[in-house]
Amino acid sequence: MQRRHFLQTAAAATLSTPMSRLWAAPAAQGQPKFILVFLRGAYDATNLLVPHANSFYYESRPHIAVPRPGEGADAAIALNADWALHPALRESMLPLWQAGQLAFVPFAGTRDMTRSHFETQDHIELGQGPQTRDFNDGFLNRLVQQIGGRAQPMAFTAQLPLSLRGTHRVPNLAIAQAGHTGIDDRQRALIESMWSHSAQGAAVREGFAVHQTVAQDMQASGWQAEMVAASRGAVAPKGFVAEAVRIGGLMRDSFNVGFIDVGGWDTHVNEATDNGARGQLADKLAALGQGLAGLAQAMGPAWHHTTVVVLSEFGRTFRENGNRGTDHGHGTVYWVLGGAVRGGRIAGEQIVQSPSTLNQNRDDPVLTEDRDLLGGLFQRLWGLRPSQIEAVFPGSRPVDLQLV
Amino acid sequence: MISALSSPRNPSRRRWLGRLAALGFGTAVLDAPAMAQMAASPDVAALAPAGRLDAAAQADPVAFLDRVGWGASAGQLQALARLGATAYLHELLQPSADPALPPDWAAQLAALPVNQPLETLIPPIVREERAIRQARKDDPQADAADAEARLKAINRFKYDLAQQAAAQQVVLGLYAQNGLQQRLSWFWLNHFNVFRSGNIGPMMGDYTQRVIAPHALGRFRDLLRATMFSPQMLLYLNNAQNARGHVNENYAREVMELHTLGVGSGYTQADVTNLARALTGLGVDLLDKPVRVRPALRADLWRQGLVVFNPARHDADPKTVLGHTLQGRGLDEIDEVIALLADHPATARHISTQLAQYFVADAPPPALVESMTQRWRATGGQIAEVLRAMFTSPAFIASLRQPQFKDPTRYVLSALRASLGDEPIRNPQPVLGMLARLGEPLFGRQTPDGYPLDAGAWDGSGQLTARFEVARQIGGGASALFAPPPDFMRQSAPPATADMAQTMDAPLADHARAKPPHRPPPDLARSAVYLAQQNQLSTATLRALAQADNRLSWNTLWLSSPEFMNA
Repeated sequence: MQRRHFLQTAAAATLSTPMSRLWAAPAAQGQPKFILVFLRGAYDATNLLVPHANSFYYESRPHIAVPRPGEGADAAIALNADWALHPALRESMLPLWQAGQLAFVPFAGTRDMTRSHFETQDHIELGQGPQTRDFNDGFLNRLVQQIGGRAQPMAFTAQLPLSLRGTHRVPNLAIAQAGHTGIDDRQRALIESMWSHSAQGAAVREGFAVHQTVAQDMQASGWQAEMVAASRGAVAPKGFVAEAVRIGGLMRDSFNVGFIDVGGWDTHVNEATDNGARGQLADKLAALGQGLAGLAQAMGPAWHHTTVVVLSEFGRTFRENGNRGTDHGHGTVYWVLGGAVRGGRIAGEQIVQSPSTLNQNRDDPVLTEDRDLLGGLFQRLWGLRPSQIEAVFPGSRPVDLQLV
Repeated sequence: MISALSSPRNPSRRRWLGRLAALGFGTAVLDAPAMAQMAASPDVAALAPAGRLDAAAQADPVAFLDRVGWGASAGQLQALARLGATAYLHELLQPSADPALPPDWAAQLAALPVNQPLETLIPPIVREERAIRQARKDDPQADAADAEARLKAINRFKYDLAQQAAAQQVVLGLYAQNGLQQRLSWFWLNHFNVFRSGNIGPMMGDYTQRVIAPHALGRFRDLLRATMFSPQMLLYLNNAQNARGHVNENYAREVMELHTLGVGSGYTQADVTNLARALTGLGVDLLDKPVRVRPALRADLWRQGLVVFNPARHDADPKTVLGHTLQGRGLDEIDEVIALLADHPATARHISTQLAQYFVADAPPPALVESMTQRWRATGGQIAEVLRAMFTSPAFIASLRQPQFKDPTRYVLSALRASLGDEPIRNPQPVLGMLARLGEPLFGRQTPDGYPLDAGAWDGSGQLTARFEVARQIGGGASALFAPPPDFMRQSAPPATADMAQTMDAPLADHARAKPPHRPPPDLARSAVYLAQQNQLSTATLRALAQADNRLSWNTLWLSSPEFMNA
């Protein structure tokens, strides 16, 4: 049954029965789950995935380069002969890498060269290719349509992201706001009746239903206990870490396509103190890693068929600027993690960065396009046909990096 | 060209203070020549299909008032009925220095520390902060708890200042008579968005009242200059750190992309880099101390308030921006850049489009944008004239029947204006909470693009649910609005000692903790705004209202109706 129909039927059927645990039926065994984590602000991927064998990196970043592997407590962690991981992720993400559940795709991104945060974010989220620009047609919404009745999408954001806008109405809820409503069932029915003929009628019904489901799920799943476990009994984690754990619990029980965004990566000034291993970027990466690790744990067995992609609109300049920061660049690094991910490797085409191989002698080139990468991934996850991938990413050429 | 910065168009801080005192509380200051120019604008009747606008506004006065200000109130409905839409709009388009607030509020706001000139307010805070940190560095054995307490008190004071500025915006939104200027001020505040972190928060009163509001209905070039020479923007987008040999291109990029030309208008990475070079040396001195430069450069040193142009940090080599060669003449070069950006045809189109999206429709008719762009170019970017062209267009009149989904600020302010009686609120804090809950807190947008304003950004399922909660809160009478003002409104000076800091940590005084007096839900079914709107309500809404079993429910339903959320 289409969820839309279900909602309408349920609303019509009775006003007194709460539509509790609407999506709480356990997912069919092995059904894939997908979560997109959007790092808004263009994180400095060059300091996440450090080209530790490249002396040009250390020349280009006299103040904010992450020390070479082996060079003290702040050193980058070698992943292979070329690449090393930022030490802020040692506790959280290194274990996943070692378990083969985390891969990185460097030189990833879009062909958009505006270096505008907002243009490029829109470009990625719409996923329509260079020609069209319909702001009510995001790629995750098109994906949801291709998955069909199996899809249970949710945006864990205060605003519905562009990628989930489209003909399939997708609920959104900022986790921090999930709580009990003061609107009683009678008022709710009357509000729904006022809106029934308007463009937002479905959203109104959905809003009430989802709000209730989420509030009950959170109560039932005892997410607080999980949160403590995920932080290993440390002080209660705040912000993203706490939210990610709650999202993990909800994704485990009720949803299979999720969207999260994390802001604040625009590091023009004081990206790092002392060296690239400490400071603003390191703190954000540490919190992101802890959050993702907490999310993985909260998902329990569902983690085995979950894939998380972490991306950002673009990378930053290869060289540091005059203020121990970096300016807007081009290519970035995508993360792919999950229980069934074929990780522990750096995937996709790579080059050695030098003045002659950098894009405009400034930043990383894009060698793997966002739409090709994600299309290839979706193809494997859901066994979508080429025509279905074409519907999600028109004109793309899916590349199979065998990430799952 | 330097003199232009202190010309009558940009009254100096001292003059501004004088006027503030003269007005009791002054938001906008437009000097006599500018006023005369406004008054001399072409006859309204000659431009407008006036009869049609008047008729449309008469048919749906609430919809009209929702577009030209922060929403209908009883007083505005009377004024509109008395004057007719065309004459009323003409009045709204005159910039006014005096928001004509209720007297108690005018006095209370004028006394807030956040309205002090920045050079009085900020340097002592920053000096104190640095002194504490330095002392801690010099003597790590010293009383760490004491230093912590002092730093905490400073941070609290900074937070309080930002809260004061936000509360002031709420009061202005609810009660100011110059409604269109207030609404535009919010639009420009969002267009030239800065985020309230660090030392920017305590300077938000200055940003709203000195940088933005006086120019909201004036000339765009002056508004752009005011933001470019504001310490808030220089700090937020890092131009304060932009220096010769240490170029930081953040501001240069965003000023072209967001503030003026618009992305995709043809500028290149080289334009961004060269513009950043042209803007080197324009920075901020939060300590307000003398700047020393070598004698040869001394004549080029310039400062106003906390903003400093330091020629020693400026890249004086020639550079090309947008095909125009800048000769590297220091501050004059920056004025040249302002003219280049503000007067560019792409800017006229970009900003006319955004204004039409905000006031008329998410996808405004191209012909409307075209006529606004032409008006912009004919008047040298006079914002009031561009708006006049918009509000008197057939497209605007037609749009009154195709309502827009309100963004949270429009929703909250219009719901309160429709619901509040004659007694002014005492505590604006619950309103700040509503705005935050609905995702549009004042000064809370972290990125420079400002909040999105199209319906798709605000009508998601999660937001609608939250909005019904707010409707219930307002429909219930929101007693907390009439409770004594919060502590931050009583804060009059920075805490000077750790003792005071501890006092501030102490439990709130009894009067602040006391529950507000209970107020019964207002009788909104008899309110002027409902009576003016009821003919426009759908059968479904009227039927639901008829089924409400008590006043709270009725109020909640009306404020939750599609007609109230769209305007």
